[in-house]
This record gives sequence, structure tokens and C-alpha cells, in this order.
Amino acid sequence: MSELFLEMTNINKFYTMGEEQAHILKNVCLKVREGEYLSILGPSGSGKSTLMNIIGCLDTATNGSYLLHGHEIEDQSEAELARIRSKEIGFVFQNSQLLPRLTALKNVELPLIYAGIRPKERRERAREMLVRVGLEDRMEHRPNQLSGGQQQRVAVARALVGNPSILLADEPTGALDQKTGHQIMELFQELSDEGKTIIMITHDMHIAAFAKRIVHIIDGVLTEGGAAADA
Amino acid sequence: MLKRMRKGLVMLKECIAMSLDNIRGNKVRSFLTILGIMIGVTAVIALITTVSGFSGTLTDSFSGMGAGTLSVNITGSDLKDGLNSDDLKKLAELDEVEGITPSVSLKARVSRGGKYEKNISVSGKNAYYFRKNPDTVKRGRSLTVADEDNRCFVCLINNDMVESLFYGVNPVGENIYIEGIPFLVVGLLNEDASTSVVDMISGSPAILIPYTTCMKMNNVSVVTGMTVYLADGTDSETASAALEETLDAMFSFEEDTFTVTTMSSIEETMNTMLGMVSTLLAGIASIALVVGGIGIMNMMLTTVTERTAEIGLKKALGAIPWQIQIQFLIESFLLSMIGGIIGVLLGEMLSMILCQIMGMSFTVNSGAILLGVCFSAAVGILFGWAPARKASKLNPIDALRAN
Repeated sequence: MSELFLEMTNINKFYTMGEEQAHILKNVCLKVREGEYLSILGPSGSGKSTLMNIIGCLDTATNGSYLLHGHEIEDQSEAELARIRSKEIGFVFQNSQLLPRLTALKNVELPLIYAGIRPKERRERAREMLVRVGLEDRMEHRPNQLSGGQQQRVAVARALVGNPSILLADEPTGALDQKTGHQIMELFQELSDEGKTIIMITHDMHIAAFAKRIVHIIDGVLTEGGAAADA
Repeated sequence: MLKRMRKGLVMLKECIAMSLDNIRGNKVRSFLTILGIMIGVTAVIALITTVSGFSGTLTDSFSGMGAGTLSVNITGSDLKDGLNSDDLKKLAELDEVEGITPSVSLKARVSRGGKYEKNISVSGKNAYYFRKNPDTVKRGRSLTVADEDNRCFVCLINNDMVESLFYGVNPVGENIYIEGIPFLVVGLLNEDASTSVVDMISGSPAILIPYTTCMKMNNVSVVTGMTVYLADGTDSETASAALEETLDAMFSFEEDTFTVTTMSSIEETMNTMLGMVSTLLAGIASIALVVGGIGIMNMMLTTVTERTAEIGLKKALGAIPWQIQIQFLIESFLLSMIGGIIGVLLGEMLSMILCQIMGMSFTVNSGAILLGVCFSAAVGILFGWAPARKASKLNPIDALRAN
């Protein structure tokens, strides 16, 4: 069995909204091994976005312990969390979130800029990644010159270019039609076959079914879902 | 350490490129934003350069006129209210002194035939004055020692007098009446020969007569002002010390009876005053810079709000707060610097034109340029700080949700 590299134990998250305190995540425990392809399935308002933010080190839990690739994620400073994100996490968002003024190539280079990689190496790696997602002839196009599917491919390339240990996707097909969505899922499948660890958050069980393992989250409670067919 | 520095440098280069891209992406808005800084720097540069050009011209004309002279003013004591001709002779005989021209003047009604002019400035001079300033006489003769000793009623008149009193007549050899007394016109004055600082400030006299005659008309027997010409090779400090010593003895060592003024001290006073004026004006102009800075702050705050999603994304991709802050800071710095540099160019052009119009020599004032550039850089950083800080503090989750 491959190495255990993400471990959440009794994660709780509270939000204070006015006078009320909302309990968003309730004693969440989750273990992910290297190379796993996992989807977290839940309806909107179930706390899955909050869980993704905590997994992605954009947010920290109120209590509980979270171990990511050897990093104990607690109340680190924003700068330290940013460095962990830069090294460990590749995000893919629902609506690709590309910068409209930059070309596809520049968009993919972006994470490397903040990692302080030299321009020449940056360009090479970004180019390689775009070739990998099948956009070798679209490198100098701006996002508005690309289709939704192509934009999402650029986003995947951007997520992978820093060679993160985990690909974290939030509704990666949410803004796409079914056919294009399936193409993205095929891409994820290939990446998983290459050994990439992937965590995908979705409310769509057909999309969740592409993963090898599914967990459900409802009202902040996480339950192991077993095989996709059970969902 | 070295690696961190290299990383920082890579970041910085990228930030500058991104900032320029953003500025270019919002051309009209960027231009309107930097307008304030531009106008402020233009005003500061133009003011400083023009005033310094003016003071340079003034200094040149001072040193041209005032070289080797001192001016003495007598306030007098109860017993002695001025210098008589013996005193003047004594002063003129000092080793440090080459000669003296007393300053006596009056305002008079001047007439000839049916024509007259009122309130004409008449100045009393001695023969020595004409020896020192030979350019004064255009035609005819100058005033002589004989005129001086005999209190002759002779005069030299300027062009204005000729035009108003002698239409179509050669004035030399004719009579004019000063306060009803007939004076023989012996010569014409050269208009261009501006000869003393006093003349430059109060206007040249229209008529010159012997100073002794002038004293008689004023009904005074003593002189209260004079210009002292220094002997060759005497510096003004030594000469003024010698004069003060002699004058002290003449006024029985009473205090506050006279002042000796060197040209350099007049020049210093002038320069101090000009300096104060230019500082004041530049201070007023720099208000425009502050207003410009507020404009930049306003635009940067708008930009931060507009780009909330972009900031959130960059943070998610691993940008640390410092990197976000530096990017916005560089953007406001660049905006302000572009405004400042355009302002410097416009300011230099404007002062070149102003100097041309006012007939002054134009020199590029490097101090003013440095000031303009530094000031705009400071404005950019100062007013960009708060918006940049705001950007860096944005919570990435909220920022991402903004899209």
C-alpha cells in the first residue's frame, strides 16, 4: 500500500454569523494515500467548500489535526500557508479563473512566478504542461479566445505546473457541458493513471463516479461511501 | 540568502511587467490619475527654474554694476545731520577710496515755452561721476568741476525731456526752467547706460545737474547719501572698515548715525528674499502633488476592489501577502513616476519658454529635477501603501468568491 500523506482527525469548523454559531464541519476524519483519486460528494451547503478550503490550506480548522505531506497545518501565518500551497497544492476551480489579460502560456506560468522560478525555466515548464493537456497550438491565445473546455485545460495545466503533491478540483466540470465535462474527466483519469493524487469536490454523482473512491458529506458529517455504485 | 535575493529580483521584474501591463490596460484612467502629479511637478519645476534663472540674471547685473563700490547712508546725529564738503574731501582722500559721488535729488516742475512737465526726478551729480561713467553722455558735454564749484545752472536731460520740451529743436545750448530757475542744457543723456542699483529700482533720473546746485535748491548744506568708488585692489571689507572708522570720528562716535552697505550684502539680501519667495511658491505648488497623491490612492483602491478575484486567485496559487503588496506598491510607484517624469519634462519646457519671454538665461536646474522625481516617487509609495496593504490583507476565500 502506498504512503499515507493526508490525514485529518476530528476536524471541526465553526463560523460565527452574527449571534449564531454555525457548526460547518463536524468531527471530520479523512485519510488519503499517495496516488489516490478521491471525490467528495455533497449537496450545496453541506460544508464541502469549507472542507476543500481547509484541505487546500486556504483556511484552517477551528480544532482537530491536519497533516499534509508531513506539514502539520495549524495556525500558521498567511505567508507560511501560501508557501505550503505553492509547493503542495494545485487548484482547479469551477470557472477556470484565468486572468483575462494574460495568454494561456502566461496564465500557466503564474504559480511559478510566485515560486521564484527563472523566466526561461518557467516558460519551458508551462509549455510542457500545455502540451500535456493537449493545447500545444493555443499557447498564445487569451482566455476569451478559448472554449470553456480549453480554458479548463489551461487551468489544469496551471494547477500542475508547480508539480504539486495533490490536485484539488472544485466542481471542475460545473461550468461545462456534458461532453466537454467528460473530456476533462478523461484528462483527470490519465493524470490519476500517471500517479497523481487527485481530490475532486462535486455535487454531481455522475462526475463523482469517475473517481476510484467516493466520500459523502452531508451537513458537515463525512462518511465513507465505498464504491461509486453505492452512491 | 543569495537564492532569496535572486528570487526577489525575479519577482520584482515580473511585478514591474505586470504593473505596466495594468497601467496600459487602463490608459484613460491612468492618464487622468497621473494628471495631478504631472501638474504638481510641472509647477514646482517651472517655479524653481524660473526663480533661479531670475536670481541668476539679477546677480549678473549686480556684479556688473556694483563691482568696486560701496554705498553710504547718513542718518546723522542731533549736532550733525550730514556731511559737508570738507568731510567729503576727507573721505575721498582715504587710501582705500578712489572717489565719491554724492547722491542728492529732488522732484521738480520743468518747463520751456508753453510746455511743462510735473514731478520730474532731478539728480545731483559731480564731475567724478561722469569720469567713472563716460557712457552717460550721448551728446554735448558732461558736468565739470567748475560747474560743481560754482553751482552753475547747467543740466543734462534724457530723451523723454527732449521729446516733451524740444520738438524739432536741438536742445543743446537752449534753456529749460527747473522750478522756475533757468538751466542751460549742455548735454543729452544716454538712455541705455543704467549705472546704479538705485537707478534700476527707482527709475533713472530725467535730468542731471551739479550736486552743489541741487543741494542749494533743496536748501541743504550737507550730503546724506553717496556712492564710494574703491581704489584698485581694495576689497570692500577693508574699505568699509576704513570708511566706518573715519565716519565714526566725524560723528563723535555716536551710534546709529550712518550705514555702509556693500553691494555683496545687497545681493545677499536679494538672494535670501528670492529664496524665500521660491520656497513659498514651491510649497504652494506641492499642494498639487498631495492632491495628485490622493488621486493615485483613489485609483489604487478602486483597482484593488476591481481585482479582488485576481488577488484571491494569486493567493491560492501561492502568492504570499508581501508579493501582492509589492505588486500594488510598484504599480502606484510607477504611475506616480510616469507622472513625475512627464511633469519634469513639461516643467523644463515651460520654464524655458518663460525664461525666453522674460529675457533671462535658462539653465537646467538639476536640483529641481531631482526634487520633482523624488517627490513623485515618495507620493507614489506613500499613497500606494494603504491600497497595497488592503490588497495583501484580502482573505483568499472571500476574494475567490468575489468572481
